[in-house]
Parts: sequence; C-alpha cells; structure tokens
Amino acid sequence: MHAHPRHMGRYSVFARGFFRERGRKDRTVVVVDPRKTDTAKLADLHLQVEPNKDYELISAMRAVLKGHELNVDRVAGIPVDTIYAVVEACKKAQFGQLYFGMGVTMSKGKHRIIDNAICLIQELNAYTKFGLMPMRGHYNVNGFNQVMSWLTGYPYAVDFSRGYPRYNPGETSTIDLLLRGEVDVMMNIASDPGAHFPQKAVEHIARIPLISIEPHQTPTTELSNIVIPTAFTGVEVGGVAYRMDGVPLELKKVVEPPEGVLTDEEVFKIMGKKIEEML
Amino acid sequence: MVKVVKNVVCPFCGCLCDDLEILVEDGHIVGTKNACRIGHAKFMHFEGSVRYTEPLIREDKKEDFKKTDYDRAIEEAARLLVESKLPVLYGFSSISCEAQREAIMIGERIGAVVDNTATI
Amino acid sequence: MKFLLNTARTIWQGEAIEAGKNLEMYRKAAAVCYLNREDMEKLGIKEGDVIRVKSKYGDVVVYAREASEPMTEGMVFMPLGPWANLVVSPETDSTGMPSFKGVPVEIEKAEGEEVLSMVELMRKKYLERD
Repeated sequence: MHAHPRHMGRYSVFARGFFRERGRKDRTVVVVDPRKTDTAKLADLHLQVEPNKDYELISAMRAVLKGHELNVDRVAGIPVDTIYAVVEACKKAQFGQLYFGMGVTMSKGKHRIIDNAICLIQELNAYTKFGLMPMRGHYNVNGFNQVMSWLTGYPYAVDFSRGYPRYNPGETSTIDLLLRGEVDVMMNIASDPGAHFPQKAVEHIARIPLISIEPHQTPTTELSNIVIPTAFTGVEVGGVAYRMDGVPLELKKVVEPPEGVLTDEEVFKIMGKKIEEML
Repeated sequence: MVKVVKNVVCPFCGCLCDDLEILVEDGHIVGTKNACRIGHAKFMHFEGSVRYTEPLIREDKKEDFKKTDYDRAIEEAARLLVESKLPVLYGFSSISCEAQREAIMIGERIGAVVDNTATI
Repeated sequence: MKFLLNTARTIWQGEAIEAGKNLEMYRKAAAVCYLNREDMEKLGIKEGDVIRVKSKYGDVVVYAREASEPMTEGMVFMPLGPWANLVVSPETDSTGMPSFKGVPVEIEKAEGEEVLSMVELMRKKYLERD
C-alpha cells in the first residue's frame, strides 16, 4: 500500500479478471507484518509476527503442511490455530501468490528466510498452483538483473576485477565492500546510497572520490565530487524497463529534457570512449 | 492548449503501471491522471526542488561545487575510474536497460564491481 | 526506554523523495519515529516532540509521531532515509544485506535539540566529522 500504492488495486487484490470476476470478493488476502499496516487492515487474516521470527513462522507452516502437529500455543507470537487456518487456506487456493518485501531479506536469518519460503511454495505446489514474487522497489531493478544475467550469468554484485565475472554476495556486494573499506572510487548511477545505506557504509563513501549520475539534489550528491545530471528516463527519454513480474515495457518520452542535458545512455557512451582512449 | 499523452508507463516502482495520462502544456507537465501519489510527484516539478541541468565538480567535498561542462565532467570521471584500484558502479535501478548495458560494459572494461539496488 | 526499531518505506517518504530530497517535505516525512500511543504516554511525549533515538551504531534526533499503523509491543518505526541510517545495523552476516529491521534502540526526550535537515545532516555527520 505504501511502497507500491496501486499494486493491490491494479494487479493483486481488487483487480477483476477472467477467473476472478468479483475482484476482491473472490480472493483471500493474508498479510504477515509486525505492524498493523494499512495493507494489513484490508486483509482477511493478519499474522502479526514478532520481529525477527519470520523463519520460525515459515518453518511452522511447512511442518503443518507436512501433517505434523504443533505442540505449542504460539509460534512467532501467532496462535497455532491461525497457522493451521492459513495453511489450509493456501492448500485450498486455486492459484496462490506470495509477494515479499524486505521483511524477509533484512530480518534475522536474511536470505535463509526466503530460502525457507521458497521451500514452502515448492511444497504447496503438491496441492495447488502457487508462486512467489519480490516486490521490486525501483521501476527497473528487475531490468538490471535481467541485463546483468544476459551479459554475465549473474544478477547483481558482479566483480570484474579479475578480468572475468565473479559473484559472491557478502564478498562482492557493495555494502560489504564499503564496510571493509576496499572501494577507492564509487560511481553512483541514479540511486541514493547516501539516503539508504547504513551509517558506516556512508562514512566510507564520504572518504573516497564519488561520481553521481543524478539530476536531483540528494544526500548522495551532497557527498559527491562530480555530479553529472541526465534526463529523466520515462519522462524526458524513452527506453525499456522490466516490470516486477518480468514483463518488459517501453517507457515513453513525454516532454523534452532541459536544453543541453544528455541522457544516461549518451553519458555512458562518451565515458566508455574516453576510458578506451585512456587504457 | 493542454495536450493529453495517454498510456504512459510510470517510472517509479516495480509495478510499472502503464495507464497513466499526462497533461502537457507548452512542453511542461501540468498534471497527471491515474497515477498514485508517488507517481504524480515523479512527473510534477515541485516548487523549490533542486534539479541540476549542468555538471558540477569539486576537488574537496567540503568546498562548494563549481559548474562545468559535460566534456570535462565525464573526462574527470573517466580518469578517476581508470586510475582506481577497485571502483564500484552502483545504482542502475532507475535507468533504462539500454543505459544499463552501456554502464555494465564500462564496468567490465575497467575491472569494477557492478551492483544494483537489489543488493540492499 | 528500550525498543526494537523497524524501518520501511511510507507513502509520504516515497512522495517526498520523488518531489525533491532538499525540500522541507522530506524532513517532515523521513526525520520521524512512529511510536505506539501507550509508549508515547509512558515516555511523556506528544505528537511532534523532539526525541533522540540511540543504538549501538549511532544516534539521531527526530520528531515523534503516533503510529496510525499499530505495532507489536516494544516496536518503533522509522521511514527509510538518512536519519534512520544513523541508527540501523550495518551488519550483513556475509550476505550483502544490512539489517534495517529489528534493531535494538533506546529512546529519550530531546527537548530543544534540532532535527537536522538533509543537507545539514550529510554535512555534519559525514563531511565535517573529523
């Protein structure tokens, strides 16, 4: 509701379709969140999970799905009867979908939580059709993961420093490299690590030369040595972006960029040429 | 004369809603239809919001920026990247796939770590 | 008082980052900490009061707001942004992903202290610290 305001209306919950003529009435919505969020208020069932207990909850659901009994009153703060009810609802669904956000990637357990959730979804497919999808924040996060995968075989955090692509999150991922102080120059492209990285990582960014390809004044440009503004993609220049479900869509150019402002693509082409001359 | 541009794809979140209508008058966006609050903010220019239209450069981060031209800014950026031992290219999630490809090629050429916002 | 800090997006923070991060709108949307009503009463603070949020990793001064989305007991909430970043955990457990949720924090009143704007915060906390 907050990060993707039209997701429920347009795609997941209220949308009317061939199999769901009545929209919301033909769907069951379960929300897992420690807060009674605006989304949770619209749900049929809200599992108010205790912080950092997501892994336990998923494990309990898997156990119930396998026919085990839960010999406790509550798991992760949720009454076991509710857990039985949710698992039953998932099994009975004609087509289920798990949408997940940063709760399962940033709480204790990190990617192990999503690993566990993937297992749950696999097991649910013994009963019905069930899928899962990350709620991508920026409009073209998925696009980058697609492009990177075509080019290198890996989705992100790719290290070319040995001359061939290597991928090992935790070692080759930006936050870890910054925390270990290994990075000596950073180029930030249309993003805002100054606003979204933890303090210790930003402290290192403040110490090294920083180039920002960015049209707005942001926390990151405040720490930059060079700011190269570009046209807004999807407003002043077209291009392709991938929706969170992997569908590529053509962005439109609606108005002209301010006079003299280059596009991202133009900037990188010129930069590539200059680098080629220097090497 | 207000012109309506239909079926515009919203460049904010991963939903990529493709039913926006953008109202344009004299080459400026004056309104939106169907967009959510955040999508609307993305298309509209807000009073007081700083938008850079010329490249900026400074040696010392505590000093103020000086305006420069694209050629010099890109040249300096290229030099920093070429001379770096371990550069990181980070971001990428709010640009088109075409631009992403160009930047990844740069990363490969200079032996950089190339990472996007999926990392966080 | 001790709490567990949760962070995430809010629609107001999202609107402000697209409108312009140099705007007062951004400070109003992101330099805040949402608390359950009972906790605000226990701390003796009201809507809009200035509070200090402190963790093992740093501290920050923000405005207190009552949560319209009630949380489990002992939890507080901050929108993502440079303010929350000063207190969240950078620990990635070797996964590449820092911990922005479930961070132990302490909250106290900070009457008369200033909630920094984005530009002041970046300057004071990162550029002029040494």
